Amino acid sequence: MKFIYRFTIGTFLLLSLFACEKENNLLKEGEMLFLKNKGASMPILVRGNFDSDVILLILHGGAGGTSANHIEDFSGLVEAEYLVAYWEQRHAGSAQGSFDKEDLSIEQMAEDMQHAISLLKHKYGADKKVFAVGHSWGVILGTYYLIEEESQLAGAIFSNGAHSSEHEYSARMDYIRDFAQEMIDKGLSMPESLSVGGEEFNSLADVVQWCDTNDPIGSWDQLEIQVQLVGVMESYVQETYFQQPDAIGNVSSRELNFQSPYNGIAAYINQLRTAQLINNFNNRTSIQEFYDFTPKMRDLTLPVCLIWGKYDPIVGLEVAEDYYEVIATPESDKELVVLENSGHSGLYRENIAYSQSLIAFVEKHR
Amino acid sequence: MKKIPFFLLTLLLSISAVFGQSYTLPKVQMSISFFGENLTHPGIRVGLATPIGSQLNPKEEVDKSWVVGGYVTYYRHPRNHRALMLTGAIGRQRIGNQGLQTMFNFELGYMASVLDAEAYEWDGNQIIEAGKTSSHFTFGLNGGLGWNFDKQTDLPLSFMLQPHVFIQAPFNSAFLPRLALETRLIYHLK
Repeated sequence: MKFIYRFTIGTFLLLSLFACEKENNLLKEGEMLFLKNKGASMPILVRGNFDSDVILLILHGGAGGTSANHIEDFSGLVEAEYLVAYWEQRHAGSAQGSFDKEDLSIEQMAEDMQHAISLLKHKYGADKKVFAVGHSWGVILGTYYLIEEESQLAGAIFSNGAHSSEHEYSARMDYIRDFAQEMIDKGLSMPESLSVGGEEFNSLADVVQWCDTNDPIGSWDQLEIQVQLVGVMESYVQETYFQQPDAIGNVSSRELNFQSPYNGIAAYINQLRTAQLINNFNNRTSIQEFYDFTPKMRDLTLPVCLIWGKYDPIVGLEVAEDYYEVIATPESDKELVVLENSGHSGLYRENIAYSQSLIAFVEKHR
Repeated sequence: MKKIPFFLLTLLLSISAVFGQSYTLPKVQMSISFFGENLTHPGIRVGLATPIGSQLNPKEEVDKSWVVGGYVTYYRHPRNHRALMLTGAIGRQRIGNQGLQTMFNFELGYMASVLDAEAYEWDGNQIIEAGKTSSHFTFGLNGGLGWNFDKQTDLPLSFMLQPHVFIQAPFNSAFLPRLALETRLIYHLK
């Protein structure tokens, strides 16, 4: 009989463990909508200030990431001002449905985005001003939307995502070369030897030499080596230049996995499957490599705010500078804000500065 | 006599007279359960199962049997989906002479999934309300560990803790594994 008591008490304790700490009340606050399109059922969690005339549509990273991670970024200053629509892209996060793998493409996602904007205007008012807020892959998707779809946006706020792989690789090469040289100048050495793609890197001088002889990147083989090298430099840069995160929001993984509309297992499986289909670096099927939106971007006139982590090893600041120069948006309607102590995730690491820049831009263009 | 909680004692007094004192194999096992999909998404599950090919060792009084059954399961993941599953199962069950009961089942069937929020779609001209229900195939494994009160107290009940892993297919372009924990009360009909 003791066995039964232990069973019962154990079960009770297990369940009570997950019943506490509902920091954001994700199951009750705001509204949940589903957008159905071409076999996908995509959740859009709408939170924040329902009296606002502005809706921010979140374009999460990935491809295959989740908007759930951004609740922490926007639930502080930004949700107090605006409605924030956390859209899960198809085959990403907690998106459900059933469709052929051919329907997982950037063209289809841009169409989904168009319908997501239409849904938000249908639900909350056609006069609402919708701004796209993209991060990383979300910038690629958002930019593709702007050049291929008839935009319903009032503006776009983009951070640390690319529009041209050529510029992305070039910025990454500079990052590797510059910080390898900086480490050499400081008398530092290579943390550990690296062997990748048939190349041996035993010293920082080897790294600098490889950068000098492989710029620009033109093949998957070069890209594979570059990605490994940037990882080595990133550790040094983080220790040297990054500051502690100052995000105001707080969403624990326990809340997301057990007390929210989100499904951690689905997010994991969706990420794996999306990676396998359209984002596989090793199998060289990634749609995020070897593309260039630049020619069509020259016609863009939409207000755009670029808020960039200065030390991004993946999509460097030079990419943002090129984005700023390429678009035809008047000077008065475009901004480039540099977050001085961040890498790829400045919207989290320097959340207050990011949020204030975003709000200032939206207030100017609403 | 071993200590028994009050509510079980009440059941014992009301039922044991009917079912007698000696252990016999049940013909049917009726069960009702709390079904916690992903632990915290609440649901209910009811089922009927019957042991087949039972081997009751009279000396050790260990009951080993194959069990077939059918189950209806409903759960809700708020703001995500509601699911109704109709499944059949086949498994192996062992009841030790002290009452320790273990089981392992394979289960498959139909799953209806309903989006748990407003759903919309684009009809070519405008946004309209959309259907919420989708049909899926489901199969999975579950194992149980618990106590059969019948063995020692003549109370025709078992209490089981039963973790599940089951597959929902199709899900997007592939399938989705789900986890659940079932807290199960089984009533033995003889």
